[in-house]
Amino acid sequence: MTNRVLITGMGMISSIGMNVEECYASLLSRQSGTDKARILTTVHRDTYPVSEVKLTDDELSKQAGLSQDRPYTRTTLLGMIAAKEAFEHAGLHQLERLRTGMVSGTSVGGMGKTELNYLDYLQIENPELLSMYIDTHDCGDSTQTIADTLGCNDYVTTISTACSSAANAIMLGARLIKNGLLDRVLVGGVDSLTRFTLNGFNTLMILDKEHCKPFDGERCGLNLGEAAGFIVLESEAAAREGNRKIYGQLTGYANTNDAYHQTASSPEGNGAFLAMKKALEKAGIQPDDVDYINVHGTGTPNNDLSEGRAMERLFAGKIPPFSSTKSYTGHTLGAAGGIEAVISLLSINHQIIFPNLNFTNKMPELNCEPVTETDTSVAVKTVLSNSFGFGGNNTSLVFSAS
Amino acid sequence: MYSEGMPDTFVNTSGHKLKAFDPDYKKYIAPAAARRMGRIIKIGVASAAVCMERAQEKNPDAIIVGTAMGCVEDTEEFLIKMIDNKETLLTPTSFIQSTHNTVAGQIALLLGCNNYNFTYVHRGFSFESALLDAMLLLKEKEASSVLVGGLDELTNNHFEIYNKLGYWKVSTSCIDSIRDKSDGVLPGEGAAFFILRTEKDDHTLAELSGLEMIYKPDDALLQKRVLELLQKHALAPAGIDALVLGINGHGEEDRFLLSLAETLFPETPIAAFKHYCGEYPTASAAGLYQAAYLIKNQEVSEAAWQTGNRPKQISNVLFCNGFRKDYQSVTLLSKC
Repeated sequence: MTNRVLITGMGMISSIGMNVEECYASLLSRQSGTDKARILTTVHRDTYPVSEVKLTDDELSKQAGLSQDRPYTRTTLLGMIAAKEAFEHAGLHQLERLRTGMVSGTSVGGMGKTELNYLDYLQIENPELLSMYIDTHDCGDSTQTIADTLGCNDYVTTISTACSSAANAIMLGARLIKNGLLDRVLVGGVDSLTRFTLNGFNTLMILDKEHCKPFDGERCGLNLGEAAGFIVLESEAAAREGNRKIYGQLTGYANTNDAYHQTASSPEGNGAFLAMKKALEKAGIQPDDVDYINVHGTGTPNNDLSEGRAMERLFAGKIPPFSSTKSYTGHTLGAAGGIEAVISLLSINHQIIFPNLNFTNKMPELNCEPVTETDTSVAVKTVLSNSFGFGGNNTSLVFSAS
Repeated sequence: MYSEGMPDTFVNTSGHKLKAFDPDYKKYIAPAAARRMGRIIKIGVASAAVCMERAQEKNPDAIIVGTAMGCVEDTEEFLIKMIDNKETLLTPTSFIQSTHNTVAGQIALLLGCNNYNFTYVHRGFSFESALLDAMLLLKEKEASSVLVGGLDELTNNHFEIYNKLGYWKVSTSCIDSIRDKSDGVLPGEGAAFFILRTEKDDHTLAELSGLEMIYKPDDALLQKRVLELLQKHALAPAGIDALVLGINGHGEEDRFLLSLAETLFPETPIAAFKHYCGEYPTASAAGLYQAAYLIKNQEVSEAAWQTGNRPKQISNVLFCNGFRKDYQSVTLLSKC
């Protein structure tokens, strides 16, 4: 038996669909989910488009099959829907004796409820309201709630490294399996839109007032989004025992730190370069072997230049086809690595490269351009997925056909 | 932040909160950088600096931090301003610092460290998750020296909010309060950092042999997992020379650890630590420090001991911590 880490299930909810199938259909039909905010109440509603899941919390509760009798944050609701989809897809309710865990990434946690109630917590004597929600604020709440509901409790933890959170969760999951601590693990991430994050990113002046233009010479920022994306990783032995369909394997992963600035990436993309390089080394492959890169590509002047330079350096000018699907889903922060893992696997399973929307002008500093039309002519066996976060946290994952 | 040893006078109280010491930050962080850092970030960075100094480590192969609540002060600052100003006239600094991985990120920045950098945020297992990751990295030979830390801060707002829910124990004597089994816990905060290496050297305090996290156990399950951990290392309960227990004085929560001690380790001396640091989700980092210190120095302060007996020779210490009943962890430390 080899030490391969196999993918046996996927789940996703985002601005472009309520499940994997819907998201895939949107990707094919070039349907972006970015629009004026409908659910989030914010003074910036008419200024900055966002990529919202177009359901209220009540509607999400119904979709998740959760009763209304206890408080769930929007983060938990989104996470529950995608996690359930992946869980059912991989048949995790079966073979209960296999050690099954969960690792989730998030940056927002329960902030959605906290920002609504915070002044009440401080000022009004309302212990009831307080006790209902106070323990839903932390990042671990959504993970624990989901793991408790689904019953994957053999090891549960939460990672928060900004925009690389979900990718790091996937990386840890693979290592837990390889080190024999778990047989199966639900991994990915979730973040919901909050005024906290929207205003925070606004102070950094990296939001686009239009739909973002990743890797475009005239790009001016990102669109914030919300989503949840989970995949199921299994050891080969567990997958065989369950007679599971295999959607791919996680062959490479690496996490590095740019160590340049708290929020900006180094101009040469040093951390990005190292993350991609190490991930390929882990996978035991050459840059030539990569068929498609799902780039981090947020659409900010800083990231795309940094990432582009890193790619040119690593691939010595022969960059494989690449695109940023954030042009569809927005930047979903802690969930990005999770939904982009699903998208990378869709790419492998359907032999398809998804386009980078809104691209018109090549970046003057680079020699490369993203893919702008859906491409089914390329054999896609190996996909590199990048997630680069604040704090210089850079993660690259390599997915391969099984 | 802890100075050498765990002296009896090592308690810093502000009202009835156990406030972490603020060291002379200038020694560890350039004033220009420190000026922009929230308190928990300064405490974390300074703790890590002291730890690396003691271990003579300049560039660890990995930096891993556990924090359940993250940078609360900065989060509150940005949040309150956002609400008060109705989402206008906001500045980035507190937002940037509010991300949970700020401490790990700042340490990397100050060291120029490009290596593996993770932050765990899972409640009473935040520090344990970081520790487990570090142990895996060493086992995988992906690292030979890892900086691991656990930290959480207690802001005034955080204290007030939980005060309304009746979480805190008001106490004039911390040492007595963790024995009284009444309701409430001592409000605390702190940071503790460690260097984990594969090779022993002159700085080594102890060997970290095993770690178990047990979620929502009953007494039987907790005891079973403890015995399994010991068996894995060819030990029986009698082979444990001292217990370090994370009892916090809240009867309902402490009963797991006390029942464990009574059932499996009735004769073993017990040392506590939460009268020094109070209760917070990553207090287990402070406890691990005490357990490691105990092995290295073969003693801790008199005030820490909870039972009448004292260990003679300390070769194996079992460190058991609980956070809000659901999060129980057990760590085995050995002399090396």
